Amino acid sequence: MIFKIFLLLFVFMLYSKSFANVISGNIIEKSSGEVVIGATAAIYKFSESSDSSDYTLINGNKLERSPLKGAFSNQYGFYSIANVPNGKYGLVIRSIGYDIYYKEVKITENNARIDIELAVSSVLTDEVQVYAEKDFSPTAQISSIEISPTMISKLPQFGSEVDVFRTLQLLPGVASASELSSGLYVRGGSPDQNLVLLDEVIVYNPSHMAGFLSTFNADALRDIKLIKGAMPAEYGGRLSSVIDMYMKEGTKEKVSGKGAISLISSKLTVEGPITDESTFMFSGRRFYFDLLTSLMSSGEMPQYYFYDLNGKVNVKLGENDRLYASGYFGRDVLNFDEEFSDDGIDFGWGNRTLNLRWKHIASPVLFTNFSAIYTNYNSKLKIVEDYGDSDDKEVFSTLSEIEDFTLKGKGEYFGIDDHLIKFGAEVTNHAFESGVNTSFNEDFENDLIGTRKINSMDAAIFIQDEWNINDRFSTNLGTRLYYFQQGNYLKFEPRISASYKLNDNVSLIAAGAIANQFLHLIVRNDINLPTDLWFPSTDKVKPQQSSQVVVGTHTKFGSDNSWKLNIEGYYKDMQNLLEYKEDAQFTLGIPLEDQFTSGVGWAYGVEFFLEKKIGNFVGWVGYTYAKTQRKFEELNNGNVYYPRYDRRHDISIALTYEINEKWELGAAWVLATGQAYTMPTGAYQGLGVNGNNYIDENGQYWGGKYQYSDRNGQRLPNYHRLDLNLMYKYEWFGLPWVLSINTYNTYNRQNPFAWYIGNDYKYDPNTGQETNTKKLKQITLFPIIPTIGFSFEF
Amino acid sequence: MKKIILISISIIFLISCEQDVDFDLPYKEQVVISSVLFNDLGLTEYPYISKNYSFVHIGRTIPPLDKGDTNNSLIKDANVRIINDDEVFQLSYSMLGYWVNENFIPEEGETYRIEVDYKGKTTSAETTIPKLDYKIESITKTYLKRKDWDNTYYHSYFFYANISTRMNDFAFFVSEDDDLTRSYYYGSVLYTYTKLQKKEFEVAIFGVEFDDLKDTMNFSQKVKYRLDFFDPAFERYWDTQDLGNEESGIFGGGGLNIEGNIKNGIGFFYGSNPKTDSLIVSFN
Repeated sequence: MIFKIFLLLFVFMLYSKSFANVISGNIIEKSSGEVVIGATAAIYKFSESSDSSDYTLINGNKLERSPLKGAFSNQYGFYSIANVPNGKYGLVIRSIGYDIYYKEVKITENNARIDIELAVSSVLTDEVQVYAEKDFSPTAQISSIEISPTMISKLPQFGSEVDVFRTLQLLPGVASASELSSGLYVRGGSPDQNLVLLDEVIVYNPSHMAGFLSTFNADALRDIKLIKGAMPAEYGGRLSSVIDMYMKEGTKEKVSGKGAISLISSKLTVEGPITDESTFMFSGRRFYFDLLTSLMSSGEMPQYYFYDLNGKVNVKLGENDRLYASGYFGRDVLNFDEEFSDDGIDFGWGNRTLNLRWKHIASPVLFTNFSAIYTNYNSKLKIVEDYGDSDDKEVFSTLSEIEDFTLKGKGEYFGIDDHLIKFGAEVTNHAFESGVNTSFNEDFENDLIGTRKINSMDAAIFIQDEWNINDRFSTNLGTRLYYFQQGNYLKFEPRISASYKLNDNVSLIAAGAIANQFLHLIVRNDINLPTDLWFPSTDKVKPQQSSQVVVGTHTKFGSDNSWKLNIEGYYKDMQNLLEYKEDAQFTLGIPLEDQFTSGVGWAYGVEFFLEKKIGNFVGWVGYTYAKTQRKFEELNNGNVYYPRYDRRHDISIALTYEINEKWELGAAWVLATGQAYTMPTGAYQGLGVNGNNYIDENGQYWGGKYQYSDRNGQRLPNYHRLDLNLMYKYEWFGLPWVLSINTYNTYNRQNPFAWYIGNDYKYDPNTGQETNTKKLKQITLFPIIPTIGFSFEF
Repeated sequence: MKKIILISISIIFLISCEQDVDFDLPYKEQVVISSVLFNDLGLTEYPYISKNYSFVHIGRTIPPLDKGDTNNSLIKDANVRIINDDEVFQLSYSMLGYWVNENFIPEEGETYRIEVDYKGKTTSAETTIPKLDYKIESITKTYLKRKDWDNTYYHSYFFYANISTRMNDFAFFVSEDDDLTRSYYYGSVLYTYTKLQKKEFEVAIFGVEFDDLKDTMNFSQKVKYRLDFFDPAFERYWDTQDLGNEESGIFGGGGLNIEGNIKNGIGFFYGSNPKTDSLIVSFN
């Protein structure tokens, strides 16, 4: 029934073009052909007043000060201004970083298709840096932050390796579990609660090196947007956040590219036109630890590397149609082969995504987008033990895989004044596979648990209305209906957000959302491992659910509104969270569901985000006060506890400063409450079930045990660190190069990664006695680390 | 060049350092009860000489960085008692932390409560000794051949018991018996089974492995095995007994307050009803 209503709605929108005079079209950047997102398109009446306070002068034309109607270009650069009365107007397109576009249009019972090419502002590019703030509807800015890949590339990076997620960790409301992890813990949620989208495709494992680096090559990206919560209805399937990234489409001007060489990896991006109507972009990155270890290896060394390949081709089929094919392939490979035998380990894990997308402008007021999507994440481990001269080998292998096929359709309807209606439907078939096998030889083959496969279909529809009720008050009302086949779950998710302008510069905002999550990443600890398992909801494993409310203020100030201060408070309640039981057994043959336990969580906090996006000096200062707690009946004796990433205070400063044409400086400083940590609060004599213990002649007992605090009941010392990136621009072989000198942990703070009690054994040969002195030890991962990297463009 | 690479990699990947920290970890004193009551077996003060006795050991936690010392980790001045319905058995301190009462003999099907009064607080726990009601319906045998690195063939026999039971809730595992010959390859715990919903289950009761004897093997032998039935809470102890060991270093943080079933303290207090049996098996 719901689908029928949806279909009727679509048909109505498709044929509604006869009701409106519409000005619509695509907005692209003149030089590159990349779409311009969030540009403001507005039509103005001509002013006949002679009083200069009554009109705005654009390109020598006197236009009324307030526009008659307006719209924002969407994610694909499309804009549409509907229901335009007959008459003559000035069409003005503005987007920060571009020259203002002006055109006179005459509407007489017709629709005007005006495709626009915006020229990059020569004034701005020469003198100042611009990390454009896109103009979306006020509600679209709630809990939402955009960061340009250019800005990310200028901030300090570990090992000179530009990392998107490590930069996102510098934003308020986003925490990291440890220095070792690029995982994002957004407003008290775990990394699996983030919907990570690359060109609208879910990337299940967004990290390399067991979570140390994220999988996304910043050179291949065009847009990076983080929605920290209360997301609109167009997004679903995750509780906490959305990281929505789009790859570059490829410049139409000429074949050009970008490359970089750092201590640990190299990368190259090439883009350009294929024909007048089509472009391409390909990008590759390889981490070469294996090559370095091969050069220095004098014996057996594990070989590890990873690679990423991004590719995108887009072809214009006609004025209203464009076809995109984009893909991402990334894999980590760990090999360890012993010399003189066939013993060894082969371990590989990675993502494959593919999206075939058709952008179709069905009418001047109806924009549609259809996708056929494939995404796969798998990890495969094979351990071989060779039994000498014979052909017999003992082989132990594991497999964990999730594979999705998705069909998705999405529409945006511009036909009603002050409303932008977005709607869509998607169907996904998930295939989960996990298996453990071992074989000894041809006579002894034993499938210990064999392979387990679970298939599940999910379907979702959504509709949302971005409604500008008046000049001050805007809302986004939406809902999402979700069906998940395993367990036969049907969930309804209302989403609402609102923005009220107190004046031109200050807005009050509020939002609320309910979200469900049917796929769960079961992790053993806070470090992402490739063996972590995606597991679907089943009859036994209930879907996770969250309810979140956000309130706050958004303020712009300074010349050209170049500063903004966003203050947001949030409360999030989470149900059916999953963790491994404390006594979980990883013995083969025990059903996985029996190893999980479910509980609840809640998080609240307030975030301050002060940002400057225009000028020689750009960046942000963020502060977060947050509290995150969990309660599981079967964990921590049923008592409430803090997850490890709970941080009461978190301050981050990220700045770039263009000193002159040659030199530029990036800096990042973080200060955070110490990690929640579990430590012993007592030691005791540990007797076995047979009552045995060992006591020496001096009454010293051996084989003791520790009794621990509540889970994460103590805190490590505060964490703080300063990173710097000094960039020098120069020419070499006629190409522009940038030398980056990075220092990680510049003042060499000994930040604790872990504390533990170590044993210091001493044997006295005179008495024959051995004694043990216990000492509290700290592990520090990274002292000051200077690195250099080179990048170039052509 | 090789040197530069070596140094660079060393800088990045081998830079983590360890240092001593001068910090007073918070200390929480807790009573530690370690006790297993075996059906029909009285309390002993020497459990490590023979396991054919029940035992009660009472200790306390000491500050985590203190040396493990029985001079300060044992409790000798507590009031310790075991209660069964209205009957109270007062225990007295014997030695090395063990407490005894020669009149106390646990019985199957009975529920016992231990209470330890120490420094104004009472630490307690409760357990029931399972009442056995099972029958081995049949024994089946599986044979597997494996070739080892030295090209020696090993012949493994697994014996499975099909057991029917009317017991509702217990932890179960098979343990070695002291009298079994050393040739038994899988002599220790093979399987745990708890919170049984099914009334029948099959479990490997023992395995044995021989080397290169296949062609000459054709004999029968009487073997003994032991089935241990425990209070069902025992399984949780069994699964977590290795957590929190002092030797576990940085990996020890997973050991939480999960060992045992003690209120106002830590440790374990479980009833057990072991059953030793034998059968004649043939190897051919």
